[in-house]
Amino acid sequence: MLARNGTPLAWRNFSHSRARLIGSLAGVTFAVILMFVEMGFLNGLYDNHTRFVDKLNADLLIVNADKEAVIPLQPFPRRRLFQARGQPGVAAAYGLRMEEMHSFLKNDRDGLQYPILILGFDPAEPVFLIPEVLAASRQLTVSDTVLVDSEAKDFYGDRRPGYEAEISGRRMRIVGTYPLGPDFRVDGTAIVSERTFLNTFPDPQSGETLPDRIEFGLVKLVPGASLRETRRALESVLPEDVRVLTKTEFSDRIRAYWGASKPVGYVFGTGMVVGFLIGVTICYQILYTGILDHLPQYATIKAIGYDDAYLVRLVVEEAVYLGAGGFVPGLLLSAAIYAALQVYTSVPMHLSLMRMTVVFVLTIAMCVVSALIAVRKAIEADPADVF
Amino acid sequence: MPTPLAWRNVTHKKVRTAAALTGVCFAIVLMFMQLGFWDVVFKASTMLIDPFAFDAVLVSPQYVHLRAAASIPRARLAQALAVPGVASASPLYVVNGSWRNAETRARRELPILAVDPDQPSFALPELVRSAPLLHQLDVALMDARAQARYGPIHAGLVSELENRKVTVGATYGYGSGFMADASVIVSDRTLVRVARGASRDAVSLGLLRVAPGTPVKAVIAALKERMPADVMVWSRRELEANEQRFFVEVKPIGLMFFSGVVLAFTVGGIILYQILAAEVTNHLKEFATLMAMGYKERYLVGVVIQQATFFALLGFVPALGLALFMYVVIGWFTQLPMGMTVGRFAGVLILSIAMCVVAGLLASRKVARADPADLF
Repeated sequence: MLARNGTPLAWRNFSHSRARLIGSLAGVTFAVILMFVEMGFLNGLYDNHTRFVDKLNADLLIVNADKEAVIPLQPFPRRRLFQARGQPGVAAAYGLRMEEMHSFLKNDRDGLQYPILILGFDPAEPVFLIPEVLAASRQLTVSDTVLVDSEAKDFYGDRRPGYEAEISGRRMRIVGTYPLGPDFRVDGTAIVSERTFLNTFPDPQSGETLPDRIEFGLVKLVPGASLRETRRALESVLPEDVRVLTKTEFSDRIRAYWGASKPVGYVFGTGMVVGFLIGVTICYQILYTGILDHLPQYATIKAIGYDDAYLVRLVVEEAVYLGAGGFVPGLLLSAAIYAALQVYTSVPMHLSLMRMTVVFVLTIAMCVVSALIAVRKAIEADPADVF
Repeated sequence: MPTPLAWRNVTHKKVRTAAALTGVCFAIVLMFMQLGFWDVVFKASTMLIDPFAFDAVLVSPQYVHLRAAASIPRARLAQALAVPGVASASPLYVVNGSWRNAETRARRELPILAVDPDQPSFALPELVRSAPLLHQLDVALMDARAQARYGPIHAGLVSELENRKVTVGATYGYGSGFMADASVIVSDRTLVRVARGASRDAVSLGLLRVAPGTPVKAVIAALKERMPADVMVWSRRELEANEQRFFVEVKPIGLMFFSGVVLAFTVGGIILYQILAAEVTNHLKEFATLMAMGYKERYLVGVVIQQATFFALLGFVPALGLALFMYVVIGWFTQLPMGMTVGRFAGVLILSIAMCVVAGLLASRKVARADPADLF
């Protein structure tokens, strides 16, 4: 915004003193980092649990009506898959089995049985969108072979192909690994064929296999088929004990479960709010000090005839420069911190364009808010008092 | 010099000081919040066993954590009772099951805890009072501080545990922490009726109480000698440490909260430096003049330190109030025990003062270099 003679006054004010400029930007940068990291944790929590769904090869999911998230497990009868396969628009319906409470991987070194999540599927069906799993599918057809999550926690021990692992008392040969990662509840996963799965987890009382417990039904549509109509057809033929959902809808269920179930949402949400407030106070301090220093000049401008609105716009503009200038280094530093935290916590810390925009808007908002509070001092400047 | 310079500096420009103090206050609030949350991780990881009274515990060598406990033979409890100093040995079963929300009919997963109704070894007064109800089959004591998804919970409620009808005989209020979103206690006989595959012989934890006056360590040592290799003997503290370690070091939630603490202190420290440096800069002219008048650098550094301490204290008081308020609000929303501890209070106070003083000292290097001639 230019003064009547065309001088970019706000910019000049902002960039005038190099040392002060750096100090001010540093303050804003740290408030930005604070907001980014708190938000990163918040999103990381949800991303952590929804990434499993992203890896499923499905257009629609069939799940137990009570199923709230990937875990806890709530299986449904296999018959639902047969019922689904007959429907128009359905090209295929794969089944995915899971076991959590009875599945343990024994670490040969310390002899302890660690809880692990076991996934079982028919290797002939492309259930997973994970290249490593697709590549190793053929090998899984051999009984008692297993793929282990390469990013599972260390205490699961050695997981190189060729090694033997003991899962729930059954010895298996490791034929490959895949990168998936732990979540808040399971420290790792392993994948076996359906046959191996059924042999490993028989009915605890009768010892017979339990073919009937399917955790996820993955429905693939015939190319060109309408999602809405196929879904309606499925819902009409499947009984009330299951639901037909898109992957997005199920991810929403997961988010709702984890948001309500654990305090992380509140914790990092309040962290973001405090970060925002800290940003407002820092910006205010910077702007206010600047105004005090230039009080004679502001008074003079008023004396010349510029109105209060002009002063407000001036200070707000300066605040925007402050926000934008502090945002960029804040973003870069946050990206580095995200990478480090992802390694440390195994929680995905993902910087999307949308998330960057959110923090940018918050940064500008915090600067503008502080400007509007600080500018009252400039408005009060009375030429008569100053000289 | 009789004029309390540091105090005058602080109180002189009220508005500017208020702005600076607000920043100090929020930085301290951030530290209180993140530390509070991190503490919760410790407390929340043992909430399932807190209501039980025991000094030592027998667990399987395969024990990983409370919900992956493996099992020990029930006979070990009688064997433990034979060891001098052991006053009681009670079984605790932890089995995974499901509860039906009485309102929506939805099945929700939860851990089923089971005890011997003749010696349940409860510590919580409400549980001690309601314990006799467990003598009835298919009667449960349920934690009312469950997540809302589990539906209404009150005495007299009839619902299903693992698809089997049970009646809630009485409720208690404690909370399940991070290990579960709800929990329920039944008798061992009810457990085997309700949960397939559960047996009265496969005990998850053997809760041992030591005779009053006997040193626990000695009893544990005696137990370790006498008990066979298929059980481990831990003190209560060791069990709790095991659970906490799992959440703090292994589970992402502990790691995230710890990162939050580090972040709060790092950013908090930098922000405090920012604020105090700005304050010193504001008084640069005055400081330089004093030095020109002959005051030693040491005196001025002393003033800066005093000023920093005032800032820390003045910012601390409102921060404390805000933090206490937030603890109550968040504790209520999340049903987790968020509270202030003496240790945290003292720790944050000392750290705040220390950070402010260090910030002041760093900033005062500018004072030392201030040459009066340059400023006028």
